[in-house]
Amino acid sequence: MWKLISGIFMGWSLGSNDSANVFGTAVASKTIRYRTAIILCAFFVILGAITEGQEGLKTLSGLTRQTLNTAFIASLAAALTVTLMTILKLPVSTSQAAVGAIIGIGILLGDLNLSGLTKVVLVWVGTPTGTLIVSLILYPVLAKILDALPINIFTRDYIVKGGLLIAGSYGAYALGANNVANVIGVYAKVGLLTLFQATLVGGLSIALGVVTFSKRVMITVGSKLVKLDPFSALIAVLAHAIVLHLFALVGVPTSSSQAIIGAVLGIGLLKGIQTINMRTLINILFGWVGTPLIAMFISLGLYAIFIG
Amino acid sequence: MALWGKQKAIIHKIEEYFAKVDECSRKFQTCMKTMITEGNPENFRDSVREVSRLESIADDLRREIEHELYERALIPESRGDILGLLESVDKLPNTFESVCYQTLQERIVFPKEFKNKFLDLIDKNVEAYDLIKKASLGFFYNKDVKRELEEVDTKESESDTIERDLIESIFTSKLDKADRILLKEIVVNIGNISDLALSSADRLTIAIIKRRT
Repeated sequence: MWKLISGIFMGWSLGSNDSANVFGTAVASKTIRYRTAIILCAFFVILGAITEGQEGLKTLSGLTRQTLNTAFIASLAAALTVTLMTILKLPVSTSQAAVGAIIGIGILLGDLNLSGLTKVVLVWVGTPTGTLIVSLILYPVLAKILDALPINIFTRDYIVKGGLLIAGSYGAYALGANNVANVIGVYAKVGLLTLFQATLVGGLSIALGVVTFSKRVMITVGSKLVKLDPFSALIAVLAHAIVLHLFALVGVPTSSSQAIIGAVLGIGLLKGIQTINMRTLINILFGWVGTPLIAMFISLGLYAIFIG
Repeated sequence: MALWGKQKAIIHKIEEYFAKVDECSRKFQTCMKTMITEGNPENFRDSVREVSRLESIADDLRREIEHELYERALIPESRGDILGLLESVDKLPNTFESVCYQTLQERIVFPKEFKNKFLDLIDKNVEAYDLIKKASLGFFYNKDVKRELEEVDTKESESDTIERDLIESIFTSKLDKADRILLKEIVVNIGNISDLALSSADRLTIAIIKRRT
């Protein structure tokens, strides 16, 4: 049972990194207080994991042939990688870290499923592309509706602020539903936990990461890539939540980080390419390439240490 | 529903503030015009007191609005823009009051030959104020105020032209040197009204660009 610790560690690292995707834009634009954001995020992550996280768990269980030992090492390697990236303030994909770690073990055992890998990579490309398109559509439509309403600016601000709280909570729910499989899926597969127990433990561990260590990446997502006004933040969070939830409904765990970056880039394109901070974008892209590689090498090292 | 009520209360207070500044501007306009055409300092003294009273009420209202804005959980960026705009607009009633007191205390006498130009200058500057008031209220109601903002700029330029013309006329007249300087100062201070209106318009333009969706 103690080997579950690396899964909980991974959940914690996911919460500390990926909650930025949900409320980072709202917190950085100072529309929502950090404290409010982490409380809502933690609650809805757990709710999403418990109510809709099982589809992803079933998918992930079917994809992998891991044992408890390899699951322990893969989770630990992924968690260490994500924690390292969080310390570097980079929003990275936990699922990329998990896949990188699994590949490392696959190479060692001579059991690498390349066709499965192709599908995973396609999802990684599809996620930011999807949110980019959704934000390109949502922005003009919602802007037109908001501008047409006969309301004063105070009411308008309350609508945007309320929208951010709702969209952020929805995003947290989708994050829990979609990503709990990445955290704890392998433990359900090897029979250490039932599906419900897995969603509960996964959801709680993500929530713990949200509450304890999420501020660093929030600021990167919310203010360093594109400076977002509250309305743009609302669109980014909404696009992220919709795409992530759709993937959760079909049981495909994907990257929340890639989802939000795609959405923020979509807004950057609408507002003019010059609003995008290229340096931050390159850092983030480096993180995306580096994350699976680092996780892979860490898992190789851990395998050598723990299993030999 | 409570939030709805609070928003309504703030917007009503802002309307009340502008109504008071409006009253102040009308009183300023009529009393200055009477002073320019009739030159009766005794009646003028009472009118100046009234301008000052209205300015003081407007000031109190602005402070109340500021406190309420800080207490309410408005989006911080909007709060900064609104507070900045109100403080900028609030310099206008201050200037109405200071021009009145300057005229009263320095015993300004408006020579006949400059009366029409002074009347024009007063009207042009009050018109600039009217436009920034309309633009500000439109902004609070999320309306398009581009035309009003452009017109503030036009009024300011027209006021500048009158100012330059008037100052030149004053200094080429046969008036005593001290009188010339006093008149020039009052011309500059009246013209300051449209300068302040333009500065508020610039601030408002930036606030609108920031909120543009």
